[in-house]
Amino acid sequence: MKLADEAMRGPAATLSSPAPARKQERMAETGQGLDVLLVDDDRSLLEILGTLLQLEGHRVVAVPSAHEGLLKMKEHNFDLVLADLKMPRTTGLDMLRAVREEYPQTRVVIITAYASVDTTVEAMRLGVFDYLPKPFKLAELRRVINRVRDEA
Amino acid sequence: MPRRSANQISLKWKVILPIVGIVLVAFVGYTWVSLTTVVRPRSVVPTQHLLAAAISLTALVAALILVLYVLVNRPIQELAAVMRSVEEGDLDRRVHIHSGDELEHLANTFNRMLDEIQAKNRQLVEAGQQLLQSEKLASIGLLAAGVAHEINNPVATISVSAECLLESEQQPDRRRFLLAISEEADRIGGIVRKLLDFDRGGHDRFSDCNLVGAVDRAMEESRREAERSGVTLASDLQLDGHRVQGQCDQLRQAFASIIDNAIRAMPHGGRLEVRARVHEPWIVLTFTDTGSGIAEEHLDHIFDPFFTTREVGEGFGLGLAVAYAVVRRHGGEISAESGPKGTTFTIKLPDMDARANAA
Repeated sequence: MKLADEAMRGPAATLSSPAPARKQERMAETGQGLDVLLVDDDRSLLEILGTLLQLEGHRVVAVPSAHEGLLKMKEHNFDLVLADLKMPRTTGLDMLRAVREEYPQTRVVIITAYASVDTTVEAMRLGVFDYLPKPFKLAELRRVINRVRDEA
Repeated sequence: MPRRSANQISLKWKVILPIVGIVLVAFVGYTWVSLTTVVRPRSVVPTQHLLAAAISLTALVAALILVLYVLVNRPIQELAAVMRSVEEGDLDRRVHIHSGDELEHLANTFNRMLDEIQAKNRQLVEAGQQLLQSEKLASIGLLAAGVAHEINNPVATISVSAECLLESEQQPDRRRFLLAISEEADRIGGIVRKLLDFDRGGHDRFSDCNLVGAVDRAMEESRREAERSGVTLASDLQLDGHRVQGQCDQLRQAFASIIDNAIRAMPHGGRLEVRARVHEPWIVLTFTDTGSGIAEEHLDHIFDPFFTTREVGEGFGLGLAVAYAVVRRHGGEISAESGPKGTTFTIKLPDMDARANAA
């Protein structure tokens, strides 16, 4: 996959995106951009969210599975992991558990197309930073990311 | 065994008396004929007399047999006929015997038995329907969970993309198109969320719920819609502080669905009255509208998921199905009666106070 391939070139590899937006430059200058690991098996959403976060001035690594995500975690420090809940093999909850154990300083936000009460409770127990149900509005995504930045 | 009144004659006597009658008449007749023949010379007794005696004797015997037939055989025939039709599956027929004897008693017992079978039968059919309904709801829940995942992913991509473009777009026409994409994506998200309510509601905790408040809130939500259609909303809620254990918000949603449904049945105005009463061990809520009523062929399906008589785009037939699911989850019952003058929905919920007192 394009995103993952590019991401593999370097720890802070970025996506091929259109000319950087002004906002991005501004954030990069002030050092406000976050290092974000994006994990979702839905490739369209992965690509779009990756592009969006980059436009917002964050450094993004986007991978389509939790397994690849955990490999990336070994190479690089991330401020935020945005992970889909339901993925084949390793789920978002498994990833959350692993990240909380090994990289406690990294915030994990679960994005999900379908959250049952059980998984929500489990995610909270495991120390999820926030829970973002799909489809979400841009404003909600920004609010969550701003909170991560404020607390980082 | 029910006590028989004084004027009732037992079956035994109904059989014995005619036979005794026949024997007596035969004996008297015989004696009379023999006496007259013995005492007087044979020529003295006119043949007509003998003939008359024979005819009246026969008539009497026939009459007694008829009596026997009417009193005993006819009721038995009636009983047998009804039994045959029951055997063929017709449980509606009843035996009508007013003979005041054991046969009437037998018939009454038989009728009571039929009543009971019919009631049990009805319960069985209802239970079957409820099972079917809950299976339908369960399958909707499963479907919802699967569909939600498949749909929400692309919808999220569409929604985020449209919003991103919208932020940097100045040209009004383009903005309008992008806005349409964004809003419609939201709408799809809303539909999926509603579908998911089926599955989600089941997990909410039960707590003390003030039904009066839930009804009031549901009515308040619909007030504007009601005013637009010229519908008067009235409530008469007398629960004397009785509560139910439940998911208050889910119940409010169920009430709102019924109220919304009623308002839509009265596009040219009308009146909707919500009543609440305690009928231990139930709390009974009725929603009575003066609308056009629900067609008989629809009445059996109104609680089915995705059943709707509305135009496409005006709801997709989950409101009443959700109401049904919610009420059943609370151990209650919901039903609808409808006629040309309107519809009444009745919801029965377990009265916690009554149960607490009984326990």
